[in-house]
Order: sequence, then structure tokens, then C-alpha cells
Amino acid sequence: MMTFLTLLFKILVFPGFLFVTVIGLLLAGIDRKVLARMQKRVGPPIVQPVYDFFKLMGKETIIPSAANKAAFLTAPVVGLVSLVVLMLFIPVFSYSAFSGSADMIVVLYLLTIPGVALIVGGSASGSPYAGIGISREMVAMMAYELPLVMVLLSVAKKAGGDSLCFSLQDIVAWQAANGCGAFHWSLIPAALAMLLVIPAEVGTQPFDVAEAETEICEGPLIEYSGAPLAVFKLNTALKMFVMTALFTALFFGGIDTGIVALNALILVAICVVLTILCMTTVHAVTARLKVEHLFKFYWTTVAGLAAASLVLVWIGL
Amino acid sequence: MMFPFLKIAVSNLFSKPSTENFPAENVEAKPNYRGRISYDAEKCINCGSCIKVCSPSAITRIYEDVEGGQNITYEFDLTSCTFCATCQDFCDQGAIQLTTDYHMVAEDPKDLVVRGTRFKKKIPGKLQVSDACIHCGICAKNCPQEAITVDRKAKTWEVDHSKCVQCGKCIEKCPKNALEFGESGPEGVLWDEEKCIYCSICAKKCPNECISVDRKEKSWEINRDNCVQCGICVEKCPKDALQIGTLE
Amino acid sequence: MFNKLIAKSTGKSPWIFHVNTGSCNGCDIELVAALTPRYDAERFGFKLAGTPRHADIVVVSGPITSQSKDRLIRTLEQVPEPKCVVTLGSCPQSGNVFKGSYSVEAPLEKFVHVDVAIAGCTPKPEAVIEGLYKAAEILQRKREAMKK
Repeated sequence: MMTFLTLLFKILVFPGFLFVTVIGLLLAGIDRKVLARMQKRVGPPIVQPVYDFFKLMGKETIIPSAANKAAFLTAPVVGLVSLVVLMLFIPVFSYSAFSGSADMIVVLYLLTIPGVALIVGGSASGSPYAGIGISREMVAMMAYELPLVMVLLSVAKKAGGDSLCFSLQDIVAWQAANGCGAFHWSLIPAALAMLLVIPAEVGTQPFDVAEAETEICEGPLIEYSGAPLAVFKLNTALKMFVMTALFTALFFGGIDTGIVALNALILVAICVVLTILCMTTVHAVTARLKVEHLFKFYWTTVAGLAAASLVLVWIGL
Repeated sequence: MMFPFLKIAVSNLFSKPSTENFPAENVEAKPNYRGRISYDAEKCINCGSCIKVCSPSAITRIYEDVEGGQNITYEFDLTSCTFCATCQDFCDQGAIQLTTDYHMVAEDPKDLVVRGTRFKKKIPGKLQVSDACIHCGICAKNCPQEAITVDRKAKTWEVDHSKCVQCGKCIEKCPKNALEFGESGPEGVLWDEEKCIYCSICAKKCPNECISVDRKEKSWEINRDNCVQCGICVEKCPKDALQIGTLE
Repeated sequence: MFNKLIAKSTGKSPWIFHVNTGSCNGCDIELVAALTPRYDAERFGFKLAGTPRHADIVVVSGPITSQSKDRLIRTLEQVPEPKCVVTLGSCPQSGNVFKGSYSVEAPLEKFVHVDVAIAGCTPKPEAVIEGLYKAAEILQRKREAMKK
């Protein structure tokens, strides 16, 4: 009975649904506010994404007649569930809800699900604009998956020594013993590559070729309104937190104060700094990339950085 | 890759935002901003030039007959106005001014109409005397224009209508209440042939182009149907040959 | 309990969709200028949405030309409730200088109830923000009335 209750607590409160939602919306709000300040204007209040979410919950849901109702309505929920489950696998420094010997592979597969949910939702809308949007999203996913896999492999190899260590819990423990991942110079190109992959995963400018784009009337989200749209916008906010938490676990995992609450606070602080660094600053100073430039960028520059790290780690440095 | 705005973006983070604190503090528009129209009905002479020059036809004039005269209302529809200020330029009297007020937001478009009403007194008819007159001569002494002549011995009473300006002083002073203004007839512009020099200034200044003057033929004609008795020709005539009064 | 929170949020996060039905673009420029750093409409939560399905407030500019009338009505029907219609400038209210033309179908009141009229040719960005603020308040009232 107790284990069932603690399980429920882990899934629903910390580090499950409630924790991820609150911190994700906070990160989205901070992103918008810092972006506004960088553009020398006042900007919305930090709780603005909360207002957006509740406003969308109160709007009427319109389902177009050409849409496939089941896929249209379940796609956003599938994305949300996969993100919450994902967070359960990522350790908050020394504390991890679920851990296993191959949870990095699970994380990798789970990370593709929100993108696929967007694609399925878009194609279920039955609109030609959504069709263009989902083809661009597919190209973007292919583009950033390659460097992401190489980064994960290099960290796994570094932590594992002779064999690959796919357990995130073990990687964090290795970092606690041998110093944080970011302080090993062979992993620095991998950290840079991961920092560049994060905005593409989240779908923020300059890599938002698929999502909220005014050229194709918001792409896959064009026919969504009301509660399903609210869940999609929530997914974007949650992804910010999940990706930055993953980065922290891989490259800054050695910090441990012993108290879970303090660890959670330090995690949130590091995530805020990472958001401002890799998402807001890049958003403020660049324009949107075209789809072919995005593909070229990820498969040459970013993949090159990740490959450099992989090679360095493999030859034993 | 060049990031030219990076330095600016980071330095903006630490400086004050350049947003004006609008609804919290009122912001004034710059001088000469063409905003809400203000109409002073007292200065208006009802020439109708503004209605003629308004390109979206945003100005309407409404006549309403009441006792003793007419109520003339001008309505400026701000939901139709293009704020070009041509009406302000063409109004000689300065009755129309475009202010710097830009707060023109309303839920009901009827709130966005500026109107003003002027009461135009009917010009009274000619001065006439009744049999109650005792020829005392008080009216002649009090007339500021010296338009009345009274002979006590001959028992005559005369008035020069061209000098009379219908001020009403004689009616006030008459001890026997023998004086009154007659029925007012149709009004119009009265032309004095002797004073006119056919310079045609009145024809040029008339906003409704009612007057036609031929210098060679020495003729002066007016289209009474279009005339609104605004009085611009009376004001501009260099020889005081025109006045507004009751037509014969 | 959630209804109050939802109603409050509706007034604090109104998304705008802009439709240009033949305007000279003066009013469109002032609307976009309201989102620049000097006037910053985003502090109140205003955001330009890319599709009418995401919008709360529809801002119409331009005298409704005959060619765009059907498309405008179809776009307005695609906006989910609760919604507000705002006319920008004097063209959608009366046609301004295009009154009486064979291809102009202003006023917008003939086709859909207009909630807020912002007069001016063109209105200043501050007047635009004032009008949108009023529309956000009306939106909150509509949401509160919806769930009663």
C-alpha cells in the first residue's frame, strides 16, 4: 500500500506531473520575459503561460469536418503523457523515480514521441497548411536526432569506461565520483552540441520551422482550438524543462547536497540559466532558418561537434 | 556566423525598457496632431463650406424650426472622418478645430459623433406704428441710428428702413406700446444698386456660388434658392452695398 | 472554482487575429506598431495569432470590399467562442472616403455585431492599445456570462 502511494506521489507530484508542469510553465514565462527585456520592452508577466493555458481551456473546441476525430483529440494527450513519463526517468541529481540499466535508450525513444504526436495531430487536421507543417517537422526531427544520439553515446562511453553505460542513475553516480561531465574537456564539444539541439527539440526560434510559424498559419496546429491546443502549448513548455533537466543530468550531474528539496531547487536554477543561454539569447538575435539550412546546420556543424566528442571519448581521452 | 545584435541584446537586459507607461499615465499627442474635432456653434455662420469640402461626407446639417427662429445643428461623424482638417482650413470663423485628443474608442458608434447647435433668430419684419401713437418723439430721440423722424405739429411718424437695424430700443421706450415689428417675410441678401461698383468680390467669396456679377454689363444677380444667408458677402463687400434682411 | 480562474485568464491573455479587407495599410501599420518596444501591447498578454482558430479578438481594418466580404464572414465564423470583433479606423465603420462605391460594403455592423470601435484615420498606437484593452474586458465579461 505504501509503495503504491509513493508511486502515485512520484508520478503525480514530484518529479512527475505537478513538478514538471509548474517548472515548465515557469521556464516558458521566464523565456518570454527575458526575451522582452532583451528587446528593450517590458514584456508579459512571468505567469503569462499560466493565463494562456487556462484561457485556452475555456475556449470552445472546434473539430473540422475533414478531421479524424480520434487522432485529432488524442494526439496532444499522448505527447503530454510521454513527457511526464520521460521526467520520471531523469534523475534529479541523486534522486531518481525509476531507474534501470537502459533508461537512456528509453529516454531517447520517449523524446521522439512529442514530435510524432505533433505530426499525427497535424495530419489528422485535414488542412493543407498542416501538411506542409508536418513535412517540415519530420525534416527537423531527422536533423536533430543524429547529433542527439551521438551526444548520448559519447556520455555513455565516457561514464562506462570499457563498456557503454546506459543507466542515467549510474552516469550521475560516475559524475559524483569523477567530477561533472562538463569539466572533462573531451565532453565539451558534446555539451555544445547538446546546447544547440535543445532549441530545435523545443521548437523555438530560430529553429521553429515546423511549429508556430506565421508563414504557414502555425503549421500543424492550424485547426486546433480550446483544450487540445492548451495541451499542445503545455507540451512545448514541458519540453523546455525536460531537455534542460536532461542536459543537467548528463553534464552537471555531480552536484549533490543530500537534501532532495535543495537538489530540486538547484536543478531549477540551472535550468533557468540554461534556458536563458541557449533558448532566449539565440531567439533574440537570429532570424528563422529555412528548412534546408536547418538540415545542413545540424548534419554538418552540430553533428561535427558531437562526432568530435565521440571520437575523443572512444580513443580513451 | 555573425551575431551583430548580441551585444545590444545583452546590454538591453541591464538597461531600462523604453516602453511608455501608457494606460497608467496619460500620454499627450504632439502639438498640431489632428485628433478629435471640436465645434463651436456660436462662431459658426452656417456657410456650409465645411460640408462642401469634406471628402468622406462626414458632416451633416439639420434644420429644426422652433418658435422665433431655427435650430441649426451640425453633426461631425468621427467614424466617417478622415481627419484631414480641410474643414478647419476652410472655416473662416474658426468654429472647427481639430484638437490633440486621440482617445476615440467607444463600444457604441453613436458616442463618436460631435455635434453643436446654434439658434438662429428670425429677422423681424419692418418697423410699423399703430394708431396709439401720440407723436411724443421719445422713439426718435432714443434711436441710435436716427432712423425715425417724428413731427409733433404735423402729427407724422416716419422711419427710414435702410437705416433701421431692428435693435428694438424704440419698442422698449414707447410709452403707448404703439410700435412693433411686422410679419417677418423671407430673408435674403438685399443689394443696393447705387453703392455697388461691380467688383465681384461677393461672387468670388460666396461658398455656394450664388452670386453672378458681370462687370461690363453692370449686372448683379443672386440665386435665392442656394443662398443660406451666411453673411460672408455682406462682410466682404468693400462698399457696404449688401445686407441681410426681409425681402420685399 | 476553475471558472473564476478561467474567466480571469481570458481577460489577461487575449490573442489577436488581424484581417485586412482592402485597407490602405495605414491602420495595419499602427496595429503592428502597437507591438513594438515603445508601445508594447504584449505586457497585457496580447499576441498575434497566425490562424483564426487560435484567436480571441478579431481586428478588422479596411472598408469591406465585395470580394473580401464572403471570406471575412467565413473567417469570423471560424473563431471559437468567446470572441470579440474590433473595428480599426473609420473604414470598417462607414467606408470613409469610399462610401457609395460599387465595391465597398461597409459598415461591418451589417454582418456581425461590432464590440469596440476605434476611430481615427489612422488611430494612434496608444488609441489601439486602449481599444484592445476594452475588448479584453468585454471578452472577460462574455466568458463569465457563458458559464452561468
